[in-house]
Amino acid sequence: MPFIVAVIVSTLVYLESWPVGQFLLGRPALLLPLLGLATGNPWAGLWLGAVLELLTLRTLPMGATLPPDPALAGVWTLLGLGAGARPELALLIAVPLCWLAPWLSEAQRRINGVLWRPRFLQAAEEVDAARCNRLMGAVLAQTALLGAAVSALMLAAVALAAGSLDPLAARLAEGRLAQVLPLPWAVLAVALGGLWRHAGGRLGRRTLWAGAALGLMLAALWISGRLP
Amino acid sequence: MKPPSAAAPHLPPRAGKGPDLVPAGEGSLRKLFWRSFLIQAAWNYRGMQHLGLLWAQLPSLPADPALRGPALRRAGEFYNAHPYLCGCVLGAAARLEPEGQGEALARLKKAAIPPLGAVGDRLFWAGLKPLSGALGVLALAGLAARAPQPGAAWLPALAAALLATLLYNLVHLRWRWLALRVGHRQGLELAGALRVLAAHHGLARSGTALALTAGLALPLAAAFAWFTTMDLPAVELSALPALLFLAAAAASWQLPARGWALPLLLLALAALWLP
Repeated sequence: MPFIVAVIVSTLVYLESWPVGQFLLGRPALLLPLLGLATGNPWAGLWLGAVLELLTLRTLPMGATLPPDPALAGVWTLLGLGAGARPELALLIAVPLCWLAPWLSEAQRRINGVLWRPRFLQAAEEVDAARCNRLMGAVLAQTALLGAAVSALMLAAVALAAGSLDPLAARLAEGRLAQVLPLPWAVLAVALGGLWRHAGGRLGRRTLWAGAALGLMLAALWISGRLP
Repeated sequence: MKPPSAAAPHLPPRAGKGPDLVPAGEGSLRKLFWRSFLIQAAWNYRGMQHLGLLWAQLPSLPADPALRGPALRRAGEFYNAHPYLCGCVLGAAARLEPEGQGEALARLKKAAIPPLGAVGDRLFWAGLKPLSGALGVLALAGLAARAPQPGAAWLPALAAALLATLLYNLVHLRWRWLALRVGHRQGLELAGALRVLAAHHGLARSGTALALTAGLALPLAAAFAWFTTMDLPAVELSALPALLFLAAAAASWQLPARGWALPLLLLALAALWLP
């Protein structure tokens, strides 16, 4: 994918993640498998989509908290890697990025407080609605520019890191435990364990075990070939 | 595109309702609805969503200069609640500011922040979002186990992930519009309406549905993992992959959701996988 297109896609995902709309269109389970197909990394996209979605389900954007950002981390990783990357390599890069990506939002929020807040309040004091409209346009433009600049840097950093981490990813894919259970499945298991803890709190425990019993039954039927 | 049509929930009629003084009709509410999507655009640590709310309120401000100035200044006061439910305050402001009840609106806004945040966080961030995500992931895990090569066989699972996102947004858009209508209709009696909103449409049950989906997902994913690894040389029909999968799931049980504990555990896990 051309670099400029990658920057535009990353910026759009960033804008949609909290400043505009929050439709969750950039949610990993949907976006990353599609991006993986588009960039020639279908398996990396699939694993990143499943794992990042589950890993970050428990961290909620309540109040002023900035939870890990799986969408942006996944997009930077997939668009920064070359085609045909191993899922292990994608996971090695994307998981820490999830926890680093919110620093972009943190910076933007501080800029909003320093740069835009006084201007907005002055326009309100002067009862100047037209200026408020212009200011909102400027906020969006500046947010998009910062998102694009940071995305460009991160895409280049991922491309650089991929070269040095690829041998490590190859070893992870060939280890003794990987011969029993590939690493992406193990990471998915950790993420599912987290989901259990989240869903089983308060009133959900009985329902959780009822679901597990149903799941066991379905799994047994599926393995025995009675389910398609 | 029109905003989703949504009937207001069964709310008590507004007490002492006289002639309709509210200048904001359906058309003005639509403008507020579209503007509500930028409620977080200028989020900052001093006033949080206040600038977004100020900007979204502009079309509903009274034309009378004596009311307009104070209304605009009030609109810039601190505000932070769930972004999907900001319509409650926007709708109430569209009703109350032209009636000259700005001071009462300011008190209402302050009082509404905690319940709006709590209701929205519980329904969306802690309920519907994880539920739709878990459903999407279950579809993807099945895909990883069943479809050997990317192609047409991947379409059903990708369609399932798309459907989960679309369903989430149907509920999200409906609630944005509903919140606006309820706020506009109830005005100062918004507090009572919030209780109705919280229990409306059975959305509060999304937590139960999430528990059921999570319960279902773990044994199914373990089975998928087992199925996928059956042709690996070290496996040979043993149950090791499924057991290892369940052990890894149990390892994350006591981890806190915040901070770096989770990525650090994953790095440690990766080290175990080295030859």
